[in-house]
Amino acid sequence: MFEYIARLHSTYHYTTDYIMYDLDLLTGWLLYGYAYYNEPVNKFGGIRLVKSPMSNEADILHQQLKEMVSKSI
Amino acid sequence: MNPQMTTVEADKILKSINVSQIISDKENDIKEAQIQNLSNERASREPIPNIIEDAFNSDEMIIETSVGEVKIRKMVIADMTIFKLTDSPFYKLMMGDVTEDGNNSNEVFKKLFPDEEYLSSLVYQFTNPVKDVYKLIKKSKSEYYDTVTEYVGFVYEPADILLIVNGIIKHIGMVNQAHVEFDTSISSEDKKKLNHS
Repeated sequence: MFEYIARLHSTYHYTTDYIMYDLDLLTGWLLYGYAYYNEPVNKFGGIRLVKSPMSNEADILHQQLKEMVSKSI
Repeated sequence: MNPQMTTVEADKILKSINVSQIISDKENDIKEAQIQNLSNERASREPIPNIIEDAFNSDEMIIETSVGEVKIRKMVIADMTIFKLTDSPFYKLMMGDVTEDGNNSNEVFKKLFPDEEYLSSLVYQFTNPVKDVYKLIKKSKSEYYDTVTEYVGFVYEPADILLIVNGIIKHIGMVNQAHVEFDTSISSEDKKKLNHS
């Protein structure tokens, strides 16, 4: 939680109060992910996305596709 | 020194592989990989995935109950502190201590809400300003639960509570999914060196 607040504070210059009580977590996580991804240290060392909203969407589609295939057989 | 593969050795290995045998043995795995690929490609074409679309959607979440419309506020990071202070099973879930293992939704529900107090607490927390909820719980736990009972138990019918909780859980689930995770190749030793330079 500290890492989340500190990163949003230093990257976007939001106040701690805004991050704690006003910034909804859904938007906050996305902004946090973007900031983390673009940090020079991580860009320099190489970074790999292992879980993202897109991969969640792919999981849902995968499940639907599997169901469609099993029904068609 | 790293061993190096020569083209002669590579050819020898490739010739010894029975490709048709591998394909027939791994038919199911190949089909699974093809389906996985199709899903990934389809998800990549989506201009704005569902969760991101919701994140930028400023509409309030409104639930129709027997006592009228109830507004649910969006989750903020302070809610995690409230979950921790109320010993909520949601805290364990979001920290990865409790997993939604299996597909038995009843068991997951029982794990998340061992008694009705947690249900009421969740309704109170997400239908009131976060600062007020936080201040109240910091003041006194017994006062907090008295207020929760008064605010939720004496106002809403059990069916209403379930409707509201359902909306809240959907939102929390989405927040949990929005958590982007990365894997960095920098070892802890390298990080120490970077910090010292």
